[in-house]
Amino acid sequence: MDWIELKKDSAQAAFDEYFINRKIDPAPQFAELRNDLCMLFDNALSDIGITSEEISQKNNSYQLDLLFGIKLYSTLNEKYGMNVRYAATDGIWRYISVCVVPDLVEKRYGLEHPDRFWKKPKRLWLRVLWWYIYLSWQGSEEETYNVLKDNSTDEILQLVDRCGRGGYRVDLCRTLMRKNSELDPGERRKNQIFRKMLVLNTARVQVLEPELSSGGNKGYVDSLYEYFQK
Amino acid sequence: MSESFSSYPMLTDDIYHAIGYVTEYPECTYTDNYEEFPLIIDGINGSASSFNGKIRDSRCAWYPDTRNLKVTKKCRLTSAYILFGLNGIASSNATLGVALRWISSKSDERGIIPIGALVRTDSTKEFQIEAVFDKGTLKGSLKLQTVLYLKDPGKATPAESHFAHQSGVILGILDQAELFIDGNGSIFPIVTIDEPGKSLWQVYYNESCDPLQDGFDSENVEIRLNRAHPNFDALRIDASISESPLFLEVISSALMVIVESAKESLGEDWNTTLSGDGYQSGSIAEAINYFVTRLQWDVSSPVNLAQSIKDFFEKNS
Repeated sequence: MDWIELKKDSAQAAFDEYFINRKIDPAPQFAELRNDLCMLFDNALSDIGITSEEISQKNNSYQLDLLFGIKLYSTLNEKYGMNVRYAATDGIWRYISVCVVPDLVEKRYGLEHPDRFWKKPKRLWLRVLWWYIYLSWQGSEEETYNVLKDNSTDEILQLVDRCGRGGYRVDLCRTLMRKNSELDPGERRKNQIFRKMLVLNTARVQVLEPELSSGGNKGYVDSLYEYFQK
Repeated sequence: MSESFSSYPMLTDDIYHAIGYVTEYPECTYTDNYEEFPLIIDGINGSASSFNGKIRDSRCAWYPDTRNLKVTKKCRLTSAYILFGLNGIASSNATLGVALRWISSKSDERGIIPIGALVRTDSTKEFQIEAVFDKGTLKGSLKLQTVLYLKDPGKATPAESHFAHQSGVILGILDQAELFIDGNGSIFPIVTIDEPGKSLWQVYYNESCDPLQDGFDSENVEIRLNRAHPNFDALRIDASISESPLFLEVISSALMVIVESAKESLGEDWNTTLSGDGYQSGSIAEAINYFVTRLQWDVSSPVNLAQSIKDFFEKNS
């Protein structure tokens, strides 16, 4: 795929134009990607059993993020050659968000959230979804879905927002997501265990490398959890 | 090369010199059609134990999007036993580890690769370091650090109880390098423009950016030097900064404008930025924190800031 990068000021201008006339006119090489993403979005809505007007109701928004996110991740990687290098390029996501499928971002967030379209690199909705799935990936769509199905949009925010100095420790993130999935969903939500584990992790990785500790990432993640059980 | 202040002994400069650590510049290669080809590290700045340089391929076939990158090198400690016991950094029967830490902050990824172990009875010990990065994973630059860590704390005697006791703790950096993958490796985003009738230099600062999140790069911050200005040649931008007092003045003033602009847009996040919290890797705020904490720029007032930036360049150019 010949990706296009959109600078921030151009993205703002394109967003403002979309805001006024709702015109969507991506470069020709993005026509198929647009069709694919629209189809995946519609499929996700129909799998949940809702219309686009019902996205913001109950936990529908997370279910959409998860189902659409997994398909978006696989399709972008397998069919369009997306990789970490491109996925870390903000301009690529700005172009997709504002010029290729602004209507999908609008259905999810409305137009009152420019952060999700172009304004904040780590908040661009499609970028966030890709990284959420990448950092949670368990080897297959099915396994990944199983590990994420009881989460909420808060877990997305907590995980993707905490990039940390230098970048994500990807294997550690995946181990954390697996551990989180093994906890009782009620207890998780009540005690905000996931957020607490991430905060403790941020402090601990200042002095140690989890993968080098005895027990490796798994032992380390278990110790994060046990810290809050005392 | 100790990392930071800590409550337990870490590798000090004295111990670092005593252990006789020797390393060499890494060899970089890539695979093309099952065959391995060498890459060149251009413009090396520094020594084998601390340097930066840009990766170049004489075949012009290596791109981080389409080719992998393999980094290999050897390193050696001639007196590893000094690390152990009362005057060292770990208890007598601890096991230390050597690992390669890598950071590609522009692709938001980092990792660590265990290399080998050290115990007290080791005298000379050699390690072969190898790391392979898949295509499409690296962006911007690749920072590599050979680190010393506590692999197994062993059983400390009462006199050794002050040593770190948690496995995985990083005890020091043995060497570090930064290999530039994309771009020219310039620390500051400086470009030349061609605008007749305009000033010799100007600063672009994206007022709508979020300095806590947005990158310290030309999308948000840029020092623009005007080729069309009559005094442009006097800048002598191809000479080193020490040979060009005018260039030094321009860069110092431009950086002051950038720091002041960031301060303005950070608002109440300014203090957390100075304390090193709350910002993304590679962000403008991280650059500001670096200027203040590492380069010791004095941000207490505009006058002090201007002076400390100039002092920095006078001393370091």
